[in-house]
Amino acid sequence: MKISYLSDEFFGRLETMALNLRANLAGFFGGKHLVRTYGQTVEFADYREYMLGDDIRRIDWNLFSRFEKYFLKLFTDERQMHTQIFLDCSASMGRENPKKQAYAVGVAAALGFLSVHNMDKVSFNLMKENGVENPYGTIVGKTSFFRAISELENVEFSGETDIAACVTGCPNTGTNDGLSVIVSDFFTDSDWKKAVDYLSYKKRQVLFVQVLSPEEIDPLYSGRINLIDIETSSLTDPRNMKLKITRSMQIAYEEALRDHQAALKDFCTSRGADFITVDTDTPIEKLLFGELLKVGIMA
Amino acid sequence: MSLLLPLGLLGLLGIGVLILIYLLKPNYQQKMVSSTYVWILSLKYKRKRIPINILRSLLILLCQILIITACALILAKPVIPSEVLNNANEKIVILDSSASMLSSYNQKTRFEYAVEQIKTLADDAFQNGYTVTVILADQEADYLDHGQQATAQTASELFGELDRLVDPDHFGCSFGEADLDGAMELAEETLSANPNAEVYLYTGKQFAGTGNINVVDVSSPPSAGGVRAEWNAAVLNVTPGMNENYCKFTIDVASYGNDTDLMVTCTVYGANADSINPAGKDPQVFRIPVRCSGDEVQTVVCDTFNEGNAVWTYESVCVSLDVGDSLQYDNTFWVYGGTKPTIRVQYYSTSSNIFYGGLAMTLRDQFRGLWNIHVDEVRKEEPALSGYDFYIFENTVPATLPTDGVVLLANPNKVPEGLNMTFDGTVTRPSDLEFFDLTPGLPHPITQYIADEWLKLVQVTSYTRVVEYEGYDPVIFCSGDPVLLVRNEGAEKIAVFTITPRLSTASVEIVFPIMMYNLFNFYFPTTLANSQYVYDVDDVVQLNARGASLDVSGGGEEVSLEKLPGEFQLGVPGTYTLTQTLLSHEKVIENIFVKIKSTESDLFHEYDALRNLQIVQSKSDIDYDLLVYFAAVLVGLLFVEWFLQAREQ
Repeated sequence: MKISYLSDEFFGRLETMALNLRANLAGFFGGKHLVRTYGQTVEFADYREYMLGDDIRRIDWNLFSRFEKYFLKLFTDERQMHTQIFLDCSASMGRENPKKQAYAVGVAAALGFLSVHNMDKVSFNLMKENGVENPYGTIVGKTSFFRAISELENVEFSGETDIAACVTGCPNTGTNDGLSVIVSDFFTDSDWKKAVDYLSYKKRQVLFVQVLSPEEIDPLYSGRINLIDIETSSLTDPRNMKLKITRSMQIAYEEALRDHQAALKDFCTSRGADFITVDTDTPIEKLLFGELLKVGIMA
Repeated sequence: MSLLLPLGLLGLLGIGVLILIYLLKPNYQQKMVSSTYVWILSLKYKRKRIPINILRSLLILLCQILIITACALILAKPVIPSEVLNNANEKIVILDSSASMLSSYNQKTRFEYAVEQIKTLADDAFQNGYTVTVILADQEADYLDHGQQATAQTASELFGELDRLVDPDHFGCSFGEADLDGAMELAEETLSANPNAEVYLYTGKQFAGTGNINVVDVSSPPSAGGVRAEWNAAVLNVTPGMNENYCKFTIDVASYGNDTDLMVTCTVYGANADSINPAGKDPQVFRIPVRCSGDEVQTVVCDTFNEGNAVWTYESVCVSLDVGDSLQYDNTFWVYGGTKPTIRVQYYSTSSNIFYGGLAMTLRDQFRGLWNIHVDEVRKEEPALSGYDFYIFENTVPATLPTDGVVLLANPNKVPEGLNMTFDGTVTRPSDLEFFDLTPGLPHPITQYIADEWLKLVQVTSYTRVVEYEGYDPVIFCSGDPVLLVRNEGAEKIAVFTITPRLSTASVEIVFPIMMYNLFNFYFPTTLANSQYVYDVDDVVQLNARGASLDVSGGGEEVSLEKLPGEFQLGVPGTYTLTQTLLSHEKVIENIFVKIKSTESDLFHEYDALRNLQIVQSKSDIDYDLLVYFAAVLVGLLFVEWFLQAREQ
């Protein structure tokens, strides 16, 4: 049975929300995000002395009458951002776990909706193997968005994904123009740090969303288990392992997962990126209103 | 530790099988997971955190290997060889306690000499660190109470026990034969635990060979001339007989260890007693000289007819030798049973016939050797209701039944008062051509020697049906109804036979006399089986009585036998008195004589060689068995393995 979080009711609840991106981004003209640069809006921001070449129509003549100097009146600027959502489409994200897949799609769609709702551009970059696919192009406006996500739900999750290769190989990551979200479980040997570094280099605000199923957080199986990685193509793959899972083994697993998440978070923090981890049992609204608020992405 | 069955160690091959199973064990459950990435990481954590994890994971395997090892060792029967027992110094003493050990010389019996020497031997043994085991070989050999592996610490108890053996109040020597075979088996038991033990037999008997037993002779040593201080003259047996209807007594006498002239005195008490002179005359004494030599048995005959004082009945006869020999217990011999008990029979019939009348005469002749049977046939006058031992009422019954004897109601015309029986008229054959058959009931002494086919030969045309007969045993049936019922409980000795000879062929078939013979024997059993009045010490005598109980006294014992027939073991030579009270309250006293065995009288008889004691060293007895401990370890390991498995899950 196909699981889907995407419904009118779901998006209706998101309409009151907005993405709170960093102000030092450049973006494009025409958006709703306040930035540090001065622009053509009606909201006053500051004064500065006239300089040669400035538009004389912007001189504040009232100040000239008082100080007999030319001052320009500056106004805040609002820009349009480009939200790049990198969705891990490897098999580990959902081939055996439709809920996880739906959840990841739901998170991506929610963030995308928030973007288009704030007149930002959105790109859904589907990470597969070593590259990304962007089948929907740059989405502006809700009509395009809903058309895109209706197809996004049908994306096939298979194979492996090299996050670093996908991100660095993305032809249109943009520079200093918005938010890059990577939705994945980060259970990969690829160098995801490289992806963070690359996006930081591109001066993009970065958010890592780690989606985990409850079984991955607390595996309940025990005994002699032949663990078969779903991304492997044969049973003899070295990633497949025979384990005698005991209580101590489960504790070690929990500790390893905890340390893996801490490593992700620490590295992201060191690069100014945000990292959240979610359980597919956690409602997406709770993720948006809870975790994303905590890290300051939502407002 | 050593193994009694080393082949059991083949069970250790199971360890190889176990390891093979572990290596080949394919029971991994396949589980598809989204990624094994964290599991691979967790391996490092696990190894890092628990360095002894390898040992822990192997713990179950180690436990299972230990379980297999324990099983294999149990199969191999592990023992710890007991060296202590093999090296123990022990003396096993067998004390002959037969009647011949009562032979005395120099004011002491052989038994006393033996006990003295055993005490000396034990004293020396204790001083040298030996243990001493004493086996008393009397009728049934057994260890002395404190005589099993007695040590210096328990010496006083052993000596006390030995002293009690020669105490006149608790004299330990028996009057019977010694159970030397049993004693040797007990000695072999001890030898199986301690093969180095020395075995001593204290006895006065002579053996052709002594085997591996040290025989200590406690008989009188022969002097330089070959003469011993001991000798024994004995009346070995007396057999009563008849010569011209007068009593004669065949007497076997012997003198062992001394060729001498003996005077056999035969004293007859109660001779020729009758109703006129019930006490008999004064004792009649007959003296017969006999020359005994060469330890041979001499037979003399005391024939009262030829001696001039003819005796045809007697109460008792004492045959004695007046000599001062070493063993006094065989110098006197009593003969009883010279007077037959009298049984008075009354036959009363409304239509007297030859069948019952002839039957009484036949019984009188048949039991002539055992009983004096007087038969009174009453025809016209009233029958007596007391004074007889056996009443036969035919075709009629008295108003009240006699209570002092056995009553046979033949074809009774009614039920007498107090009979606890109900008649239901007469059953007559349906036609002139048909007869009723007789069939036996449950096996009963009255129907013994009677074949079923013989009973069927009896043709019955009419009988009286008995419908209620509580307390009676139905012995013979006719057309499903009991026709012969008997009761023999306490004072109630009644038989009811509801068939008349006139209306059946019972009296002309062989069944009838056999049945009446059995009936007589059933109600008038002899006190002694086979009417034997002489027994050996340790014989078991079969006793019965006409009365309700029988009192036996003799040999220092008084026993009342309530359950008859019964048994009684005779342990002391001499006279035993048997007293019973008949239904008529008359006391009947009978005597039997118990003698020591003739072989015990022969003090110097040479017996066959003693057999060699078999020293079978039983490892299971000697070795300290470890099976229990290994089994306990096995159970413990099973629990540990179970706990580990549970913890693992």
